[in-house]
Amino acid sequence: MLADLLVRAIWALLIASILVSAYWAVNWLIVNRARSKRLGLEDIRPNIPAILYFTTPSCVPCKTIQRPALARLQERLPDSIQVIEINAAARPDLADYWGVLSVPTTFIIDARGRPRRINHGVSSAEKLQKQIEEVERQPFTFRAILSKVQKKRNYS
Amino acid sequence: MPQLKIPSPLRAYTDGQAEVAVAGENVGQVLESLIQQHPDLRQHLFNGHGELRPFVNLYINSEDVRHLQKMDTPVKEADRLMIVPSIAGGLEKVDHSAIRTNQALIIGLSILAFILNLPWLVAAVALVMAVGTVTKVPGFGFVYRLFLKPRGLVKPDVLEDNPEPHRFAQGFGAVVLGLAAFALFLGAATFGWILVWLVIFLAGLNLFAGFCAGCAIYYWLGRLSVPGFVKMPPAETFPGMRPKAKA
Repeated sequence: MLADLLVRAIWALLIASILVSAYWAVNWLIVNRARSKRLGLEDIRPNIPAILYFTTPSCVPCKTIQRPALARLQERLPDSIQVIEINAAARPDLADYWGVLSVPTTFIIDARGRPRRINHGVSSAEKLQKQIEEVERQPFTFRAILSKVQKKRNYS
Repeated sequence: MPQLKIPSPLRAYTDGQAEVAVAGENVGQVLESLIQQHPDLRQHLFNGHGELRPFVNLYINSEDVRHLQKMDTPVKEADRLMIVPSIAGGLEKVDHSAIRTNQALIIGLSILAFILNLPWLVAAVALVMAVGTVTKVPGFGFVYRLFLKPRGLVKPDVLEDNPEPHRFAQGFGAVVLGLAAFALFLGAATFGWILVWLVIFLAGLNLFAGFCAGCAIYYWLGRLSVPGFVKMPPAETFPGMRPKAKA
């Protein structure tokens, strides 16, 4: 009886892991395919992280939750982020190009113009800010390590 | 001439055209141009007093004309025009903490049912979800309302939202779990548990990733202009909307 329970619990863990991995894999694939994409980013200002935001006029959570969250984020980080809003109903070509499955969908674009994260569905201002800080921290961390290595070489 | 995008439910009155070329210097003239080309549209767009029906929204470059100059809003050649029907049900104050509690309990109880091999628990969860769908509340919302909220364990998160996609998701989950329970009782264990895990996966996507399967279905049905969407409504009802109840 207990053994059966344990086996089923392990199965549950395995199935949950597979489903979570499948979700991450799909996201990774979409972001990876988006790495070289530039369509829709023509008006992006260089060296400023951006959020590419897909919406439609009939999407209620886009209007009532996502857009206010983006507005709050822009208030918190004025001149530090830019939001590019695309109407997926008017530009289905762009939505397909970026691999949009639903609305709202947001892509986090780093300061070098590369898509780094994707969010399917509503994302809070806090979550988006955390993601931007994560993607911008990585190049800075690399630069910091490189700078330390170079300093050590100079001293030795 | 600017192009006016026609939503799926109205294309039956525009000979199937998804876009119609319209003429006019403002929104009012543009709509009149549309009606002249397709007179059957008049009763669906305007009421008996010649006013645009409340559930008809006209967007010009993603802005609702009601927030601009309404019928006098100027229209330029390069403007993108779109008619969008309001979503059935309108906006309400929706406590998302109740929805999240509901999702968490559905996921938790379904996983527990799998581990303990309890088809009756699957049936019970399906029943609670079905009752919640019919009564238009999250099925396990009472747990939040009676235990979690009063003790301050979960704070309210009330937002203006359309409750219809959440009800749809709960109703869909109730049907799938009901089928799963039926399959399990009949001895089709593999099929039954696959259906249970499908519900766990979709509820988990919503709870942890914010991905609303109902919203995605709605988006793709609109994109694909699925023919089943088009209905022939009573004269005073916008196509695809529920007819108003008679007094």
